[in-house]
Amino acid sequence: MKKRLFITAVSFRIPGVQSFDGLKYLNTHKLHSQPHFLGPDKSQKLSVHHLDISESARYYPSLKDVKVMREDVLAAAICGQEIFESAQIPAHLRATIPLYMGNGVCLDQLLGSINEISSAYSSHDLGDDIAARHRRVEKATPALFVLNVLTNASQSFVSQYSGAKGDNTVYGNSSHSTVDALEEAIYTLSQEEAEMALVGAANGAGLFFALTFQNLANLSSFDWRLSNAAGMLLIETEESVKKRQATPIAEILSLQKSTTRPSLFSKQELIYNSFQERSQLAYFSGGLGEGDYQLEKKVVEEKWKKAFSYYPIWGCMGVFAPLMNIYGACFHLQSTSENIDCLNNDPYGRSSLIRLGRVV
Amino acid sequence: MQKGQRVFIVDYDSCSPLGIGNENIMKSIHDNYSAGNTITSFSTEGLGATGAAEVRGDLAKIYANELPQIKKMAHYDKKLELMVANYHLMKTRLEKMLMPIPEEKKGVILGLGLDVTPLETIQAEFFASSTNPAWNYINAIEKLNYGQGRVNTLLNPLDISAIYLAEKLGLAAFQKTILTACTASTQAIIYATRALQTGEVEAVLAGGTDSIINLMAYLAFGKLGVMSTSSEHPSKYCKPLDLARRGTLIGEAAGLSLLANEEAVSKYSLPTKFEIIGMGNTLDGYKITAPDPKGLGMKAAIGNAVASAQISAEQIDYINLHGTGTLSNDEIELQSIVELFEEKAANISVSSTKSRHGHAIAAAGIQEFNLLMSCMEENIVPYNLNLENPISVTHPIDIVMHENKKKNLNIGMTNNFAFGGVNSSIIIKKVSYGSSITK
Repeated sequence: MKKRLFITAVSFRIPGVQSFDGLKYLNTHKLHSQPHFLGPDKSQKLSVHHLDISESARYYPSLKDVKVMREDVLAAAICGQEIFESAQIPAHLRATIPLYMGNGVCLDQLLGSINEISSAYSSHDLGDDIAARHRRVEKATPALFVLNVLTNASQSFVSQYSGAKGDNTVYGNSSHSTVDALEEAIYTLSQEEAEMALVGAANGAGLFFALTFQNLANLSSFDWRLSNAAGMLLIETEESVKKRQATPIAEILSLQKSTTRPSLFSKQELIYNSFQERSQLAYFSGGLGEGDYQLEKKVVEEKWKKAFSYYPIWGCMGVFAPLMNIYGACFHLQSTSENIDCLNNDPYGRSSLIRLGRVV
Repeated sequence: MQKGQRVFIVDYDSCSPLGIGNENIMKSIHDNYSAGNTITSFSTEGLGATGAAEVRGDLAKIYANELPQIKKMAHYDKKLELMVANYHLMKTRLEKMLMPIPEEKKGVILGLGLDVTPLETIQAEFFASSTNPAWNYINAIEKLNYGQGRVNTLLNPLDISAIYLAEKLGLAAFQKTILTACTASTQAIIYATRALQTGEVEAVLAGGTDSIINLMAYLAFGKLGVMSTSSEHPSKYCKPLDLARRGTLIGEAAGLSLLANEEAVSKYSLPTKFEIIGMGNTLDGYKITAPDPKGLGMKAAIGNAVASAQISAEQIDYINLHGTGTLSNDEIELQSIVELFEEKAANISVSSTKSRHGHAIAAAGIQEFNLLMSCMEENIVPYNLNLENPISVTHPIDIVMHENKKKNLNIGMTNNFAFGGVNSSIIIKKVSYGSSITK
């Protein structure tokens, strides 16, 4: 790292957990999920954990905007406001703050509409009357469909509600997205283009997520669990921390990524061998399915002294998984002086290590 | 630019509604051809609008030697098909230039749009003969994807094109996919440049691909009110900067630019065509459906690009505008430029080429970036097709009308702005082929 960089605020919404302190009192019984059944004989059970965001929640956006927000986007918009408020960033400073996000699959909230559209298209009562069929499809298409599925909606609403208007991007590189978003923030701050940056992730989980990734996942014979989630990190330079007299939660000591040629057709062996120098503790994502989790657990436990993962609680968190590891590590750093490695690997064999340390 | 190494474009090419490959595209520019026409890829019977700018020609012939699985995926995913064709168009050149560079020193960044699968194709091929009225989209996708190994026939992860290119060309340093709608591939160039400036990588293949020319996407965009539903011929749908503009022309495209930093250009004797000298990238933070009416975000992006280029605005010879032909974009964009540059804008030539090739959404940026370079190579400013009565702005600016303009184009800019208020601008400077890269 060219400069010392710190995580100075966090905000997230995970099924059943609304705050940083909530990680302490995890109550998995509170998780509710929506089941689906996949496969030709519908034998693969898919459980999707949803977020529970009340309209009375603080920072709840305008109802007009909420109409076009997906669940993960709504959560991200709330987190964007919350993180600036908790870090006490004044409005005039926000406009130049960069915003880098990882975004997942965007179609799930439109499942009902898409089913209606496809049913309209296949209406048998219209026979060969294509014009009538098209008019029926047109009628079934929601007016705000495009906004509902907009791939940069989370970034747009975080910007609108938080006031962050600086350099920006949204990555869609499977679960690697948020690692790349964090890397952009590190670059920007290291180059002194800004003193603070927001990094976020919004994961939309559901049937479309499952259909997109089911051929890449090692589902084994287990049920498949997915979670919607969204969250933000505020990253600051040492100068900014001193100037604002902020209290850092953790220091980002390094970010390393594997550089193996990915493959569409063959699975790369997960070995985390790119990272020779290791800390004692690791948080790992667990991959897509239960089979991926078991494999990653085995590999991580062989190479790190202590390994933790939230996969058993929330299942696959998609683009949010790297952030979940960071939140877990930040929480853990309150009670340890050891550095913690946050590990992620994606379906194409890309792996990353983000090392966090306690602030001294 | 002040940060790190200088960055050059060493090759580029596109699959555009104007033609496949730079040469064909420029022929269409000289012929003042608009690709707006009646849609051929699906029936538009009963729809309010019937036109779009489609990439015509036998794409499958270009990638005839591809793996059967890729061909099958490309059949259902037009975005992937366009990118596969674009790769094959440049294959020999790219392999030659990238071969000597170590895999961990080269990466890929693409801009992509959402995957809205073609309902009409699935229905026609798999369910037309079905007597079961209960078929649905989800079952159809599952059926098509089942037993396909690690790839899907439909609904692949959004980074599939980047992974495809990385596997073909050994682009192991990174494979990134940007999802910022109409700025996605503009940002791909920006983030490729940033990566190259650090020297951590030596070459990056940047670009994008998108298509919304299928029934569901076409109807969805139509409902949003940004698409022209004129009763005129589709070639007249899009009238950027005109008082009578009523919306954009839906398009599709793919494009790639190979970028390398000065160390790589020197080490591998790569031919330099253009240098990226300025970039700006901001958010409006205003609202999802419309740009900030004061153009604050646009001005900041354009201003940051000029500042980072360390040039005076009057040195810009041509700006390829985002110019969608929508009511909200064009006036704010043009007014932002003149407010920012004031009297320095007078000699800057501006035009939007979307009336010719349509709006390729996530591939708009790369299509227009590559077209800007082709126009600069030939010193020609394409005029604003379909423009009769230009919108008025507060300071003079050279809105090119009625005929293409011959002009020495040394420095050019391209703008793209996206739904959700993302603003991205890039400034490039011409350098001679194989010339020394000293400033």
